Amino acid sequence: MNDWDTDTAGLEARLAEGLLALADAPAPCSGVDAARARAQGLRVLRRRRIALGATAAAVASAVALGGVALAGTTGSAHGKADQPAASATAKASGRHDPLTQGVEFGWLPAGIQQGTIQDTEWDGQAFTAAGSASTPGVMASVQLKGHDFVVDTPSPIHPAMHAVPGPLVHGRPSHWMVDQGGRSYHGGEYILRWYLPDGRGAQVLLAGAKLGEATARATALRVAENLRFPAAPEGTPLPYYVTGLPAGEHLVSVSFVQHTAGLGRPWQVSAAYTTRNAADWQSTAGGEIDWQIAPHVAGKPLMGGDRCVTRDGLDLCVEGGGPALEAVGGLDGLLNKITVLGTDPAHWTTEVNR
Amino acid sequence: MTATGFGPSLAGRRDEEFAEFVSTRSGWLRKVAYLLTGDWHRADDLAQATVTKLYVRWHRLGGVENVDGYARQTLVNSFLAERRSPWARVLLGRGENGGDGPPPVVPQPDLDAVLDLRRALAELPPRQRATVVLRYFCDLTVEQTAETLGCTPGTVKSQTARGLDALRRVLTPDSEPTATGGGTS
Repeated sequence: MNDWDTDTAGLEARLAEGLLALADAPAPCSGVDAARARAQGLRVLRRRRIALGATAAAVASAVALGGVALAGTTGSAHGKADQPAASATAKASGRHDPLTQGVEFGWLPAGIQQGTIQDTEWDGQAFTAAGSASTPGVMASVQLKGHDFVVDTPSPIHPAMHAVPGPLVHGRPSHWMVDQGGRSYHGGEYILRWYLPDGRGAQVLLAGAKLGEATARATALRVAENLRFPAAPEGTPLPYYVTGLPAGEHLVSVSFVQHTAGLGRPWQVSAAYTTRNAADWQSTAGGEIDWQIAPHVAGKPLMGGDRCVTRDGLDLCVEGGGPALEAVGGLDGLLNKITVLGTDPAHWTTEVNR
Repeated sequence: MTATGFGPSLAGRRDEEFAEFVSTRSGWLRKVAYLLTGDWHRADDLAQATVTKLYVRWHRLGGVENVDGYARQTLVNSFLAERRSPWARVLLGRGENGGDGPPPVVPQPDLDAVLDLRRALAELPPRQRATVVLRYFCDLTVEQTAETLGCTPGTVKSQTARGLDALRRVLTPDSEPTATGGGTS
């Protein structure tokens, strides 16, 4: 028996003690800086004032422009190999897919394949490609941002970044985002940002500490130069559809994850909606509802849900709270609105929201 | 610096208050961020992002009695938002703290237990990890945790139970999972 093998009260006491010890362990000097926060905060406030009149147009554009897709090393639509074709009738019928494919990789390093496709209200559309066992530690991510994205300004999530001029990408100026010492961010994340001709921002992030700086930068640039941006993005077929979401529920995030070692399953789909003010993603007022769907694995419950069921070989877990959950009739109401379509991608749909 | 000759301007006073808040509370925010992220560099980023967001809203926080609570909520929401990002998924794929090396913990009698707990926390889903940290490090009640996370007390209870069960399983590999229930909201 060890310290953790105890009753709940003992475990709670041990956990509180352990968290305190962990947080009090000696740490590097703090990088938190009030002056930098003030400077960055003032820039945010200035941008908000400038963008105030254009917000509605920018949001509409970001929604219309859709999401991100992933292609393989050959330049073909690698990510679509195990998925059915998108339905051309989806938009015409009023049904829609929250996860569209607005970017395709034309080239990726050998051994890198599709990981995540995701669309979030705060960070645009994105996808990642992770290395296989033969290429450990090499990962690529592309993000398609909205018109209000400023390519040479760090996001609030990564304020320690700095921008330095980069090479031309598709003939357009770019910036590398580096740490305060001019090194790759987090000691091996090579981040390249530029504007597309239509004004949207794009970012390639390559994690490649083991590649060495010159190779990593060249690889990131080659990934960026070979990206394609379809004029009419297709929807990503998903293994479920949801009916009757109240009009007040709007998308927070949706993702399709596959080929990711830490997942423990072949793939997983997650979606989250909220009834709160769309302009205030930081707030929790209004609450959220979300669900996760993944192939059932015996003895390995899908974590993170308040109520889970297994249907057609898939685990479906839902959770939520606040007005967002009340609006769909609670957890049971939410479960009843979601229909899973099994493990065979041939049966999946792009008419996801009905 | 004075704007009128009678003391700092309103904006100047706000900046002074903000600087004082960061000076006194950023260490605590950074520790909470470290427990959430398991990495001091990412904790710095998260804490810095949090105080930046606080600055943006500082002029509206005059009527907020519990600025610490607001800061904690901002930090947790920023963490959960970042964890939803595709890059976080990839990081999870290589072990959430992969590539960054072990934390700079100096030798101490309970070193193994501390590092075990850090690894166990990293295995919890982000929302469960946030629930555990808020309950057992920030010492919040179920209701306060629910308010911070924007969910019901029932959800906090079920997330807490699942989190404890998962930690027990990870930290004592031979233990049996306990029934945690669900659907409590």
